[in-house]
Amino acid sequence: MIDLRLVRHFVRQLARGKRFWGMAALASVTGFIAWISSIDETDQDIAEIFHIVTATVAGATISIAFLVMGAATLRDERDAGTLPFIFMKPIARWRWATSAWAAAAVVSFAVGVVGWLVGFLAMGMTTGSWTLAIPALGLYAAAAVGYTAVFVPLGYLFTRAVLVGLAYVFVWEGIITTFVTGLSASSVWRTAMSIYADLTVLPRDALDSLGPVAPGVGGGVLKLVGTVVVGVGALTWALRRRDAL
Amino acid sequence: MTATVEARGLSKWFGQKVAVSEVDVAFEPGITGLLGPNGAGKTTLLRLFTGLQRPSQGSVQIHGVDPRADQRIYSRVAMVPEDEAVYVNLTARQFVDLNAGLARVKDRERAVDAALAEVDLTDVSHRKLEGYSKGMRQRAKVAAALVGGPDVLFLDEPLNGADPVQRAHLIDLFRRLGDQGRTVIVSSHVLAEVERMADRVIAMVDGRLAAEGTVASLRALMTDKPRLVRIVTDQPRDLGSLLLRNEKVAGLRIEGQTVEVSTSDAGALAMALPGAARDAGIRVRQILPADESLESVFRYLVEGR
Repeated sequence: MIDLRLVRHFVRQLARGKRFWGMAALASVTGFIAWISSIDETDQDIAEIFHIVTATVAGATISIAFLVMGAATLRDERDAGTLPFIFMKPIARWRWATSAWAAAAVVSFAVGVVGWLVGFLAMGMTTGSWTLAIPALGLYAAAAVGYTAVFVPLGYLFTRAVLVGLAYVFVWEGIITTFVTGLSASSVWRTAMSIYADLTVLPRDALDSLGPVAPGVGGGVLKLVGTVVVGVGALTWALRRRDAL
Repeated sequence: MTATVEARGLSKWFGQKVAVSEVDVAFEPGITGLLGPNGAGKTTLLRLFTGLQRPSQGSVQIHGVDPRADQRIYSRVAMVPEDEAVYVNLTARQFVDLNAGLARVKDRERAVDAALAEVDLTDVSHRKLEGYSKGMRQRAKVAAALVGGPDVLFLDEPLNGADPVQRAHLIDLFRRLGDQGRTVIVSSHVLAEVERMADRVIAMVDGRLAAEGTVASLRALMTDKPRLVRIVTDQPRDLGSLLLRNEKVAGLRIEGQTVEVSTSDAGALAMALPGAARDAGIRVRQILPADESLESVFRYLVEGR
């Protein structure tokens, strides 16, 4: 399915430098806000605060962090002119596309893990409970898988991929899929949240604040698989039909 | 001999701009120079050959295969792009090894060593490419292209940035690759460079093939071309009258102290002028070719077709 050498190359190029740590810092914002909001609150309230902050703040920070990492996977290569070195290799285009997506998902998840670790430590030290933040790891993993399937092709196709991606995150994911119930199933964040909602015991208030979310790991995973198939398919098409330089 | 690389009716346009126009060309084993001024369409043509860009019209085949349709052909094809771009965070060895790995090279270590030695980078191969000069990066790219043992090699301005010693070394290497029976296509805008590398030359201007043949036949075409010669003198009108009596002069224009002469035989004019001017008591300060640039030569080739 993937070419491990190509995945390793993409990971090495993405997981270095200021951008990786900058996005990790952005992903950490959720943990800091949850920690600050939890000071002097009861354990019950802290749990609720954590879930709400995860659902809302992470919805913005994580999606932006994953957008930047996902779009950079191929945009960096195109802009720098290094793409020919990896494009002109005897690797089937669908395999090449799958490798680019897989690498972006791994690095994006790593960015999320750094951010998650802050929340995990904050919640652990504040409440003494070290399990509260664990389900958020599933949320970040699901979001990394889904978002990179959208953002990697975007990075290949558009020079200003981050701007296009921001429009997608804030207009499509943030507004349209929130208010048009029939379209909520197409939102990567809502799909990831449905997995998160199933992995944790969400208080009613927290669940309501998420908007249209139907808890369920199975359905969420299926939707993510669909998103990945469509994303990798679109990238394969672009690699075949569009100019690489 | 059978063509290894072939283009039929190949065109590429970007919006209104036509970069390559109806090119029919075939390359056989050996080294071929792709010559043309900047903006002639050489880089686009190489990108079309290598599948990096999709033809707007026409087709490309390497060993009978369209590189955009079947990526397996890339185990036999490599390119040295014109851009200075390399992975600056990698050492030269890592960079060449990356290319070897992705090209499925067996016995990678030996292949990487051989490729680095070929371009004389072994001693500095542990250094990051970030610290390399332009010429050294160019050589690292050549090593990355060679490591897969391609039998078709596209080199886009490969001598850019290389110092004279390295130029000579690379030219020798490219000639050797051609002699080994590989198809080597080298683009350049410097005629003298191509002349040292390739026996066969394809000249390109404005996206079209302008001329094709040996370097000698191209030079002959250029010799037949009417030339513009610029002469600086204190007595431009007197010199103009004198020149008009010379049968080699097709026309002239006076601008300030400069006389611009159109001649069918610049060499004969240059030989005759100093003596004639001295006899007439005219002081000639400077004689300059006005259109010696490669671009003007190629424009002539295109317009003359």
